[in-house]
Amino acid sequence: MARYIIRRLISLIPTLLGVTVLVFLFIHLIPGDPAIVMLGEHAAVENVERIREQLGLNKPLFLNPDAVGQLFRGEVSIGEGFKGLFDSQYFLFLGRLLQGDLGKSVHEHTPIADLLKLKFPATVELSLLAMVFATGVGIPAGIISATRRNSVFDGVSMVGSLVGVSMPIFWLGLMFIYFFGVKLGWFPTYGRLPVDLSLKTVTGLYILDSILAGNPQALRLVLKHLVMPSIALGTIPMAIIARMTRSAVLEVLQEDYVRTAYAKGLRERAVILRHVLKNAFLPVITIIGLQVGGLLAGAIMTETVFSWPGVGKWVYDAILARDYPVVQVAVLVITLVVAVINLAVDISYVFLNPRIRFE
Amino acid sequence: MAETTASQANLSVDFAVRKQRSLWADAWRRLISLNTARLGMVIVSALLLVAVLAPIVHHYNPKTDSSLRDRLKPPSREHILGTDNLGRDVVVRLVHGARYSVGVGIISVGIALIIGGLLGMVAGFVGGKTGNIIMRCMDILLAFPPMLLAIAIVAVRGPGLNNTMVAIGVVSIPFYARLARSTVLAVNATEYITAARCVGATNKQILFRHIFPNILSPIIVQSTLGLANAILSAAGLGFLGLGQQPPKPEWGAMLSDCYKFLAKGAWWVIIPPGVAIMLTVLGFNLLGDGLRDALDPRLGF
Repeated sequence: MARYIIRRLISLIPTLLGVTVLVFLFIHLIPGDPAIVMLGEHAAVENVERIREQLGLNKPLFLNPDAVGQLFRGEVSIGEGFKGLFDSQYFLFLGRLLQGDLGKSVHEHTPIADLLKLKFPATVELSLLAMVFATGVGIPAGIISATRRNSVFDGVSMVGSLVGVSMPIFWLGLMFIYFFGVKLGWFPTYGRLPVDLSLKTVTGLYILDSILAGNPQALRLVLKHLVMPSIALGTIPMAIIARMTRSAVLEVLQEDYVRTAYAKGLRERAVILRHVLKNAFLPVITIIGLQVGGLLAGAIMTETVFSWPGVGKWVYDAILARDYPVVQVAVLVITLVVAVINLAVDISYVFLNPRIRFE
Repeated sequence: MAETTASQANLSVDFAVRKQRSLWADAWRRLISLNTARLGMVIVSALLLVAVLAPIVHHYNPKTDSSLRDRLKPPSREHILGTDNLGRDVVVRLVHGARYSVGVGIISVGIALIIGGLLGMVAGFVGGKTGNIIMRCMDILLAFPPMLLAIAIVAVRGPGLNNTMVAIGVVSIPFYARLARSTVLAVNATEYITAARCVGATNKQILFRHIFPNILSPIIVQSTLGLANAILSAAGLGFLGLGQQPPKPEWGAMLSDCYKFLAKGAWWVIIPPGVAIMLTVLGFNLLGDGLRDALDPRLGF
């Protein structure tokens, strides 16, 4: 087991290195001089120089060929020559990342790591709630659809899930804002909390923070702010999970052991809960894991629509401000999180399905 | 007596030799017998028709189209779906916007299909180190959430429809490459390929005459579903202000231009473009699902 986990972790390294190379190259996809594009044409020369220095734009891209020449001519020692060889933009970028230095925002001059700490919990809270909604509605809907196949419920939920998959989530968010925010006034349309309410942040997850502070009023408001964005964000995963659960349950329902379970007089509830679900869950868990990537990318749109101060809105604002180092880091962090979650899903298989042996 | 036997024989021949149907005709018959696929086809054909006919029936110049007196007028007899913040007729913009959605879908899927399909075919057919390197590169691209990567590419390359198409195309490459590779591997292991090799067919002949036609059906299904995805992504990028730039009437950009007016109760600028996007995506999804059932008889249709 431990060996399997370690092997999987090691296999992740080349992919992640590839990811860092691509993310690093983003800056060089910019048409023109990245430093000038970021700061604008009228930027002061010293500012442009500062950005160049910060990003190492004056250095060679991957490897420093001069160092090889110096080494061959015997101008430097082997150690220094080797070090000089890696004196390049990419290795500077990678070295900083490995030290936990995510660089600085071009415009705000704040370390990106600090901003990330501020924004990340908001996105985590939103995504978690979206996932709770997606699984909480999607899985039961899928199970009921499968057990009552071709019933009215099955028809409605499958049409609903098809529409859900085809729905642009930003538009769904706008519809929520219009009907439940503007027309009915049930829910607030933007932000995480009313401006006049201050909450002592410990974890950055406001639900937890308001419970820790023993403030039920704040908790109610926090939840009220979360309802619309999390349902909007969770709709597509919900639709996909419902469809997947339905087909997985349908497949298991045809198995002999299910017939046996019915034949020996078990009630339907017992058959479904004890025999069917246990076996149908494996593909469903894969699908749930796969949704996380889409969820975090979808957060960019949902957060923009609802002015939710998380990573997604941060990326959007950074794109508008041409603050590319922020975009770089956000893409890297989200991709890393997705990779780790996918790995966790793979590993969870071993626990969930003893038939799988990876050794 | 002899006559009866002859006519009986004729009769049985009539029954036994039914008119021959090709594989594709069979698939078509299965496709049109599916209600959902038929609905998908109707939606997609209507959309294509609108996209093709729009400039022929009515000339539209987004640059000159604005009438400040008619700003944000609710639906009326004159403007069936009302007007937007610059007094432009929503229906006209919706109809002309169809061209962008269809165009983005077709071109970005085309990019992904050609590059991804070729890479996958090479990886599956040649295998070895080349195949490994190709697939490792695809794994790296797959590690990114597709929409996030597309947003990042357009963000650095600059907003616009061309970059949107390239970005959506690039992020979809690995999906086509994986599909092409796995189907090529499966087909390559079949006996008729071994037979072709035995009679001395060259690699090129095997790849294009024997393997290619046999990997088409999964690729057609994936492309149809891919069109739905591409249109949805393009609308998303348009909404973020990264896709087609105003004043051109792309649906996502239309939403992005007008969503601020929702608070004023101007629902008619927001609901129609969203419904248009949703119906289009739904149409391609239904058609794709139908094609999957029709092209793969093994699914127990």
